[in-house]
Amino acid sequence: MHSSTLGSSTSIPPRTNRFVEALKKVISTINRLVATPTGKLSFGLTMTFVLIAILAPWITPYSPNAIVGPSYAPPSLKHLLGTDDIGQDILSQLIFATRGSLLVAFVAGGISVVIGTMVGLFSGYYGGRLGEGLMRAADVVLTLPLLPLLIVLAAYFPSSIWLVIAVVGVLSWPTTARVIRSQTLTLKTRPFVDASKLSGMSDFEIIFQQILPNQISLIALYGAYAAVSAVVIEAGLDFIGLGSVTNLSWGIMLYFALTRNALLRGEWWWFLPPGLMIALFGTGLILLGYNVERITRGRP
Amino acid sequence: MRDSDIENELEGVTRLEGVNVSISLNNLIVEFEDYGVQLEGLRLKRRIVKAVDGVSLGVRKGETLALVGESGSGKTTLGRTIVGLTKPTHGEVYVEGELIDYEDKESLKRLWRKAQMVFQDPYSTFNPLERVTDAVKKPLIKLVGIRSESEIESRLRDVLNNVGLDYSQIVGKYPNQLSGGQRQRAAIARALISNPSIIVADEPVSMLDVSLRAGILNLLKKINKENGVTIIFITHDLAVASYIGDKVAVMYRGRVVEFGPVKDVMFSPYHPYTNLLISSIPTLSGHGEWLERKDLTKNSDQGRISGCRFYPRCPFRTDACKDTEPTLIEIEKGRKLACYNPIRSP
Amino acid sequence: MNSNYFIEIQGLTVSFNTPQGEIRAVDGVSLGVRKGETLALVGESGSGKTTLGLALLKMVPPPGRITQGSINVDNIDILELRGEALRRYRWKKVAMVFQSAMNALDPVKTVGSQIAETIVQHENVDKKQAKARVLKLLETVGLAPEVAESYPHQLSGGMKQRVVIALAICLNPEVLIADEPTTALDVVVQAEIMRVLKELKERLNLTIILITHDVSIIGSVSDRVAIMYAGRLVEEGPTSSVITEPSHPYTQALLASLIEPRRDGQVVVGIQGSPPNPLALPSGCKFNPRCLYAFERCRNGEPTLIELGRDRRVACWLRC
Repeated sequence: MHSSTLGSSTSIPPRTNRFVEALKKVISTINRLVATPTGKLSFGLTMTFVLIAILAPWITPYSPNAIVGPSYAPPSLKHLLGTDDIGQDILSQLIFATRGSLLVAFVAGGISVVIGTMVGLFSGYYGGRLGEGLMRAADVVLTLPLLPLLIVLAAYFPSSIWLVIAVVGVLSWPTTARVIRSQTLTLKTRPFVDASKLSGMSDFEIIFQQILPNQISLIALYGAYAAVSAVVIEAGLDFIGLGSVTNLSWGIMLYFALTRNALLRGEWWWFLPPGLMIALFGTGLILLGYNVERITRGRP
Repeated sequence: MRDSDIENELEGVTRLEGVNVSISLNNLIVEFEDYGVQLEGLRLKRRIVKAVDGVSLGVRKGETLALVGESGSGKTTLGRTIVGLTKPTHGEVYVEGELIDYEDKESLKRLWRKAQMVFQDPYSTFNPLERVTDAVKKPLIKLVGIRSESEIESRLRDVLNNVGLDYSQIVGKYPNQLSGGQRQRAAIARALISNPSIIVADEPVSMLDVSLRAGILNLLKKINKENGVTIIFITHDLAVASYIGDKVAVMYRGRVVEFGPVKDVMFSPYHPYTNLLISSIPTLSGHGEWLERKDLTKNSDQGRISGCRFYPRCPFRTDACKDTEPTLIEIEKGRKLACYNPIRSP
Repeated sequence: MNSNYFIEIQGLTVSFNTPQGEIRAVDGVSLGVRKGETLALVGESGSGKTTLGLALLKMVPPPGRITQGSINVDNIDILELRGEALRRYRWKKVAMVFQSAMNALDPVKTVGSQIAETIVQHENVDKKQAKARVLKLLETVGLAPEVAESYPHQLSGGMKQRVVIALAICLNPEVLIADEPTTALDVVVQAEIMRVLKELKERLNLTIILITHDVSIIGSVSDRVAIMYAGRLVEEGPTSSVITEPSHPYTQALLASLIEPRRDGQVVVGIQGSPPNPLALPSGCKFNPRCLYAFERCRNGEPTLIELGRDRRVACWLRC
């Protein structure tokens, strides 16, 4: 494949070019992100959690399920966060729980953002009955009560983390949808969208190549919101017993702490850390969302 | 050449037909729905605004037609309808003999190979996240279907040269790296690259500094004279219209009120509104005199009363003007007027 | 300089410190305006005209700073004003109509109440008196009294612009700075607004500084015109004189680029090139790369303003 001698990057075939372009943009965004103090902090924090989740098996002192110590032991050098009622190491549990919670955060958050963005883009771009219909659907979903629905579903389906993820994802998209739709309505009126039509681009091409990229900042922000609320909702569900006990997450740990009397016994080393993790992770992710939004915000 | 054009009188509507006709509009009506909230009673009232209310006109090949009017005159909507971006509610649009079917994507695509548009705002005419040269090339790739990289590059160079841009200065740049004037030239390049026979320019210079306007206008004139591209030039400034246009159609609230060769209309206007536009042109010796009615009330959309739309502001109005709306009729060869009491007699 | 100038600007420099270097939006400008006079300040985007206007109100936005020079209005040193004195100066002595101010009207309040609020906040009048003044102001700018009860979204662009002008003069300032009052308006409305300014000048004896890039509007209302380029003053003089006999090549080019209705086939030429990058200004005369008459000296040194007689000044090597 020969490229033009002028070194213009537009001589590379379109497919490859777009991917490379996107990758370069991501890298440059990260660079700009870590240039500011809050950017560094939020990026670092979030990445730390991601790394903990990925490297869990290699960094835990013990296997989370192994009984390695006395029951209800307070923090010591051997068990930095003590042990639970059976004698499992809490720190190891905490580290492995990161996997579960982050899974919920990114998958449920991802589902929510994807559905929300799609609905927002299409209802905003097409308007008319499709647009109105989608927004009415969003309204209906907003009024659906999450908890009773899950209780009912839990009665019929085996309790599983995927059920929770699915329900959270499918129920939390309306907020994103509204915002994306509003922004799409604005962008639709810009001349470059008209010019794209005149250039022969199809509606899909315009939606995904012209309008969507101009909303990255919003998607990042609402994605962060969606991810964090997913974690918190899941923890809440776990806490009231609707969660999946086989899937270790911070929320499940809180549930165990509750049901196995850590609260009664005042064993802060069991019930405090998971809550703290949720708070820290949430803060980091939201800050990341704010910073990415600020950086990628459109320059008119 | 002109003899083969037929002025077809059909139920009182004139349609320009013939091989040399580029665009023909037939009793065009474009309506928009508008939701207004009435403050008294907080009701959601559905309002229908007729942006274009019965326009019939024809444009000959290679001609430059200036569409002149204030905001709200419907000139932009008319331009957008010609180029296929806005769907008419009633009436027909013929471009190079073909009736445009606004529901049919193929019909629209054929239209876009013939007619392109240059937009008013150079600062949002390009996607800020896309390189300008990529946007300029798109019509070649998507509309004309050219795949060969080398041909695309060569046509890109040609068109950039044609609009007075330096290829090496523009290639690879994003819109915010170019000045307003450069962006507008690039927008013209984008419109030209697929070799359309018609370009609709919607106020292409009104957001540029005055010193940059001549360059862009001269460019459009060149494109019209040298490449034979029919140009529809939309503007609110009659002076600019007179510089660039062969013919002018003066629009007021959705209708054409005066039409004719631009120099004739400029120097012997008939319609009082045309006269208002002329006296508003800023000249270095000050503005002209105009006797507008001084009762400036709230700008509510006057309910559709019968009669001439210009009645509230017209210093020449008569009672006849209040009852029936004047129609556009040919008062002398090549000049049309919709007025019961023009400022001079034909 | 003449002390019968109401506004006297001496050697004013306004600098912006950006990460890429220092930008002098206004560079060593000396200018005088007499009481009751209307001065048109003309220049392309980036010429520094808006910054100069803001400097007159001591409202240059950070990171801009006035680094050199002085501004005297009615013999008061503006740059020394602080706190209460500054507050009394702004809007009561000198007021400004900002660019796109008409978009900054509060959408949830009637325009009448917005003007009344401003009056009540700054002066010791009760609501009734304020309301009376609002009606009088509306009449001055050519608006019917019912407009006071309207919300901004109910008004057309031209009407909003008049409201904004009424707001600017509601505390009876002696000087009005109008920044691009006619941009984004239709030509008919432009003419209306220029008429309003003319009214204000004649009825209230206002001193007006009209900032614009559009040379065509200066003929209708201005007594004098000052042309700016790249932050510097390049020509200044009585409007009619400058228009009929422009001295600086930039002025000539600006006037030549105007499109006026003419019977003959006129050819209008723009100015080649584009305004210079403020971070990379050309050496010598800032206009020289675009000047049709540039010669050696123009590239080497910057010309200073010289008196041409008949109250005119120009900064150009051709006139030396």
